[in-house]
Amino acid sequence: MYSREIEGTILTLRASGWSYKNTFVLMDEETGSLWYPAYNGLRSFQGSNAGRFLRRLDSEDTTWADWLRRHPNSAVLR
Amino acid sequence: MTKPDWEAAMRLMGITIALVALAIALVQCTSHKGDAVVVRENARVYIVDRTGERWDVSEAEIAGFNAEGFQYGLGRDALTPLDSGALTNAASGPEPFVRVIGMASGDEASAFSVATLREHEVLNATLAGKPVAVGY
Repeated sequence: MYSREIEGTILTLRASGWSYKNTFVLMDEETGSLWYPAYNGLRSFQGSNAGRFLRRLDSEDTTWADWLRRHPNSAVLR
Repeated sequence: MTKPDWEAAMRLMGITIALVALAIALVQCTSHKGDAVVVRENARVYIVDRTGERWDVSEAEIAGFNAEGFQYGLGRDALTPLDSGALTNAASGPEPFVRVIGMASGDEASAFSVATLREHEVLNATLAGKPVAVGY
């Protein structure tokens, strides 16, 4: 999970259709810049956002049952 | 041909078929490691996806990426990103054992099925007032 706000601008990310080393390459719809996972976030390596960084946000990797027990009013993507 | 000769011939044929199958599997595996069509012209580097779109990756090469290493090139419209409209309430959640990525902040919590995220690569939403992208 990543922030998609960069210097006051909110980006919308989508798949580029490319992978690199079996990891998805994302793009932002605003500039077409390409993004790839880097240490603690996503780094843009191509386009007008090249060199910019979207930081990773804290999240949990668990089961729905475990999550629901602790967050009974959670929204969910099923 | 005596019976032992016939058995030896069958064994040899079996081994040959197995080796050919292994060779085919290895070739297919190798061809998917990096299948980008690369075009180099006027000091720029482009990769061409399956729709014919050319993607400039000149800066990517400077950043350490190998243009030939990009894979699949399905096209920018092959996968549809999700947004918060895809979220539902807890009562309509998935099966209990489903793997999810969860984020909680204050009273607000959201969880995302990893399997569904994989199909779309990314979901854009605003959670607890923060614009976030959830990917897997």
